[in-house]
Amino acid sequence: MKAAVIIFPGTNCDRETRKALELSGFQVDYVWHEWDSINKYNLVVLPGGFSYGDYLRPGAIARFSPVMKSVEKYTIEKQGIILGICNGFQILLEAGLLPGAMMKNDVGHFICKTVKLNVEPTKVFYKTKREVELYIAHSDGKYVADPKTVEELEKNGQILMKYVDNPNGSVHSIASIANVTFNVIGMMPHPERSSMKYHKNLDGLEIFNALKEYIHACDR
Amino acid sequence: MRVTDEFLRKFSMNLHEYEIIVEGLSREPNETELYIFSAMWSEHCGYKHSRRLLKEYFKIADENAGLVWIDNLGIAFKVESHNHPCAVEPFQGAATGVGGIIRDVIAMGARPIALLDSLHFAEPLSYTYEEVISGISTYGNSIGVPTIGGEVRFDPRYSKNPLVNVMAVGVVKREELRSARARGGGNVVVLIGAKTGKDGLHGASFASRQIDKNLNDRPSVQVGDPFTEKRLIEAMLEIVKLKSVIAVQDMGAAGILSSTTEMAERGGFGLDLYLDRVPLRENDMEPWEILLSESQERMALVVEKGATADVKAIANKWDLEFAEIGTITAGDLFRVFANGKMIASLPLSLVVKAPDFSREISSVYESSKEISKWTDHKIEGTLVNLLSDPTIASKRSVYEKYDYTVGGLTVREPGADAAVLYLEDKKGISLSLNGNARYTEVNPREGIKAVLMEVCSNVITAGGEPLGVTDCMNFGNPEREEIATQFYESVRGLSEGCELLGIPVTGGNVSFYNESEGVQIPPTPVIGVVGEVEDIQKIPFPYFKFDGDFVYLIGKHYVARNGASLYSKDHKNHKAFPEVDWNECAKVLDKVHKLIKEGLILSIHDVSDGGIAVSCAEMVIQSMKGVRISTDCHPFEEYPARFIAEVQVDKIEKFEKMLEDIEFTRLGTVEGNDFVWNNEVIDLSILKNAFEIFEEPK
Repeated sequence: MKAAVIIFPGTNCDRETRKALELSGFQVDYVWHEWDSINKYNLVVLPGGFSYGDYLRPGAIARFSPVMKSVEKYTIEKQGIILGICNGFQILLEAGLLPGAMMKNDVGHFICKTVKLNVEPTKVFYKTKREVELYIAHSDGKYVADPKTVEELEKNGQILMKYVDNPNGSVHSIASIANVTFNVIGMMPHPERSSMKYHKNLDGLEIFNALKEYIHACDR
Repeated sequence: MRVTDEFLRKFSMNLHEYEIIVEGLSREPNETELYIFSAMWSEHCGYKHSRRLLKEYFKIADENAGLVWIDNLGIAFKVESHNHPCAVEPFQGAATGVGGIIRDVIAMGARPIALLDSLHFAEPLSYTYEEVISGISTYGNSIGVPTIGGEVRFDPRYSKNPLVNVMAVGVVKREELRSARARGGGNVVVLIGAKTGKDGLHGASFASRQIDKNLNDRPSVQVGDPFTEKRLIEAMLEIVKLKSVIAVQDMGAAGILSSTTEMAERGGFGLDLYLDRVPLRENDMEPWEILLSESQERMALVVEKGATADVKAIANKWDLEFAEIGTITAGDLFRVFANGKMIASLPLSLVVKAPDFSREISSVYESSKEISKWTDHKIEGTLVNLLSDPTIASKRSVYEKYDYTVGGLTVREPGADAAVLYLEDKKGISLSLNGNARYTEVNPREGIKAVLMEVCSNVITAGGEPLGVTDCMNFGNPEREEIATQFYESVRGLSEGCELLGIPVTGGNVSFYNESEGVQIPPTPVIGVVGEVEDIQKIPFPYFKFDGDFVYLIGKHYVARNGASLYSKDHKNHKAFPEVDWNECAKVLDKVHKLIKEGLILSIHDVSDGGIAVSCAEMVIQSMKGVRISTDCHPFEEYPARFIAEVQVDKIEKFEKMLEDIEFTRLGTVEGNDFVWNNEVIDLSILKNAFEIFEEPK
């Protein structure tokens, strides 16, 4: 199974994301943001970081990168799964591929720590354990959406993870969502930071493994 | 030319220096040349008061950063100060401090993998404190280099001069290691990175004097752009793989001028610079401004003639400026061209060799011999006070603002004695950065050894074997004998300590003139150590773990009075440093390292600020596992090379046997849910609340 890790100028979680994906059995290529052929991949990952320095707004400039046109096409044609982690999630929101937006954390500054998350029993992560502990590392991780959207997300089972102790003020403690067709996924926590044997735990690897199984199931 | 006081002040030099220049040139220098000397002969660039001494005591390779090897991987590391900029503009000062030291590591060809910072403020939660931390967080997080350790310490004497020392650590493969030594006449000097503007003019000379509250020093502070830095990191890591790249250097203090001349001089070559070719951010720049600008995120390279196209292609890919701004020449001539004319022509060796202002001084300090005794039979009140002392209290609220896991290499987070990063196979590196002015002000020579022992102890408790040292020497005005003495004694002490432990000082930085408006900082040398962790699976815990395990003190039991935290509250710092058997200390460190390697220690924490009671409390707070201690040791006195260790019952025999020739004491056991000290029962939550005084309410 093939995965692409897209690199924008300012992306900084590319190497560990690649390593974690490889550990869960993906064949991984880096894709520079000016390239446009991503159709051969089963999974396309927009990793964390500060694309374009997060100037203006996180993800606001990266969404105009050439590769994002292909990402949009890939989504519409359902060629595979798109996963945005942290800054990647912010880019997907800015690009309108996921509903809602991100705001500054309620505490007003960057937070880096491990948080407990409830993994919702959706079709994406139906087999993983129900509570995981992953790192968050962001300034703008307060997920917001209008009440109707939030209601839809809840109703359709599009909320994939919720914070146990909401660290940033996200509506409904939302940490991860999917689009209505379940082929675009965004998450604020960093599973790649809990994937190597020397990490605090391997909950992140479990998330990637589940994703692989989900892609497998979609292909069938 | 008429040499007036005003004239000399304009070029930050004294008459003696001016005369040396005239003698060296056999003529009067022109204005551009005077600006060149004013920057290159500033204390910050020229190390006038320290160079001779550092050369004499440390064998430092003249490169961008220090280097130690773990198999075929080089660990490049260095600590540098950004004190002066932070005094006038704390946010940008701290941010550009991070940027600058990162580029020193990149210049070695290394990928930066960790940052540590040693911060000294007058008080917590002040404007300066918040802004410095925010500057580090904003810049470090954005460039994707984890900030994994350091310290934050407080003393009212840092009120006008906060200390911001940043240490960067990088990893480089042997074949990709790069030097800062130019060679080959005709080779090309290349500038890569950001455009050059008027920011940071006179930064070098500004950092070489006292801050004057009547002067507006703000324009001397540079402005950082982490997004450009991140692109520069990635571009440089591609560029250093090219065989045609001969030398690399960061453009730090005195910008284009110092970086290019130093590279040429190290290789024994001359240099021609063409300022018209430098990409500018603003049009109305004088040639000397272009030479001296400290605009950030720029690097200088020497590239083989005819081979610059590959470098340019990479710069273009990362959307960075690229310019061929000069040529390496045979001989010793440094020439600068602007607007088609030659505007300076100087012997390069004169430009880079600032005069030596060092002296021969030393001092003798009193030592305390009397055993320090604790007469009060209760400890709770003092213990709670010490745990909530800003210097000792938990820094979680600081380090959670830093991304300490980006890169995915973090094995051990901040909060313990030393952080650990993954390297390869089973290996890791442990890192620590500390100072302790309470020791170094009492006795700079002995105090710095105690600091060195502590930093090495930190590295050892994380399973590491210390490999090398970097130091940042923060002092007041070296023109005063008292300050010069403190500095000289510190250098001697560090040299003696390192020799004892068998580890080299690989590089560092000196920051003088940390005094203003009559307030001078205490002598504050800060030391960073890199250690090799042979097996990351064998790193002990930093906190108590299992009921029934034994708790030991490894190291000296009864100790003499020291500049301990206990005495800092009422500023009755003791005036004498204890007589320390440093050979014995070195033996303790070595033994503890071996015990950990043998797997005989389950948990360990070194005894530093606050003595053994605070150490035990810190081990309790992290796991909320109780402990019962009975001892007649002074609970709060401080002394180097002491550790609190938890040992499992089945390992006690082996453990005690290995310690045969070392002093150690069985203090008690891990048990229950309270902190019990000689039958005094203290509630864990009281200790936890005291220690976590700076944590934001949930």
